[in-house]
Amino acid sequence: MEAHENELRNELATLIPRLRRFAMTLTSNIHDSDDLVQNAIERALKNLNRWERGTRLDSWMFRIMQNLWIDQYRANQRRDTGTSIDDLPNLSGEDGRQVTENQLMVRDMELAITKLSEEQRSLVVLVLVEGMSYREAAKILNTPIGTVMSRLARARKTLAEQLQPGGV
Amino acid sequence: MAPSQHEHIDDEMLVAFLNCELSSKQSAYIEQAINDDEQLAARADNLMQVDEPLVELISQAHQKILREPVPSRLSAAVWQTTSTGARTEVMKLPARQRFTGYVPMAIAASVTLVIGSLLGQQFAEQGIDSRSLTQADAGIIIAPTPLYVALEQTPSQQPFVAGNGDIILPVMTFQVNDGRYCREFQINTDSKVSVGVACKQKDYWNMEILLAADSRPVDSKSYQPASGYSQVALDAVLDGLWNGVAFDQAAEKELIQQAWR
Repeated sequence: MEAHENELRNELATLIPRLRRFAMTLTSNIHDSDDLVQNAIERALKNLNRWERGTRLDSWMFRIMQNLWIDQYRANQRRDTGTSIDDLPNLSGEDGRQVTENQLMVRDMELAITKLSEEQRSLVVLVLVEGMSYREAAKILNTPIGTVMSRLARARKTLAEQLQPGGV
Repeated sequence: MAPSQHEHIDDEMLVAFLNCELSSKQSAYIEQAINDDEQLAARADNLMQVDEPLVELISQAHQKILREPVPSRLSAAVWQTTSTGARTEVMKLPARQRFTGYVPMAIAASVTLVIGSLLGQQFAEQGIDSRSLTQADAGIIIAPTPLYVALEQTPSQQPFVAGNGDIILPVMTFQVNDGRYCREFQINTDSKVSVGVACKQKDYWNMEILLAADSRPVDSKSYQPASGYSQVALDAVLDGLWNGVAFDQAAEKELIQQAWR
């Protein structure tokens, strides 16, 4: 049992960067996102018996984070209303040089993602970044698959509009 | 396969739905139809694959966070005690012999002995204890040998310069499942670059891995990464030993201040 638990903790440790990325899209704030990840890890470890072996640990963790975010953070309205530019990853390199056009576009995309609704942001990350299927995303977000597609379509349209000149 | 119940929903209508161009009533109808009909969902999925450049851009967003050091409080949260208060069991280190290029401990001892005699002599010139770098036969690193001092006191990526300018460079700090703190390090002498991993025990560091030294330009005194064969081998060993989570600077500083307790 303990060996199994250690395997699980190992897997959990390797997931942390992806959990932080997902949390960042929920909270738009690196400090709150790390709080969210920590709380999710603690909740997961307290409920290890609820995780079904053979199922995806990442999906389970994303679901825990989503629920925590809804239950605690949104209720407490602790999150910021927007993302500080300082919170966004610095893609321009340490000395500000070597900024490629692609990097600027990526940075614009990061800003554009912050313009999405909370539900859309979660979906964008789960489906388009994490590569989850609509069905998996629907399960994580406790949302019908048609709604997933509808929200995703609206998110993509918004992102495309934001990336037009003058959009961001 | 049973025919779709919604063949009357053509691609044009689906595209309009996906582009949010339908009325709210029409959108609700299509949304429900997709919920009920997997074939229709698959058709809609295919239509959503057209804007790959946009998807590629999205996938690149927030990538840097994946490469950032994980905050120590998060890695600590993973290895906290269980809800019953029990510590996780000790996980055995991987069988190192399976990695090409690894120097088994018996051989490693002779390598560390060579390195030790070199650096030990240099420290002797400065009046520092002249014992060898490690107690090679036991595979342990004791105080106040140069490697011990470097591992104890030097932050990662900051060189510890020995008597004649040879360099010990802690590379990173991490924790293995049994709670021990471990450090990857390099030793750069005039003619050799050696790489290894040592883990802290109560009052000494245990040499877990030591790789054969690579040759390097003799005229260079500046730090340069070990390259080629040894680095590949070290990466292979670390893949088995390390869970991918390194301590950040603040956490490492705290460990150094607390003498790795």
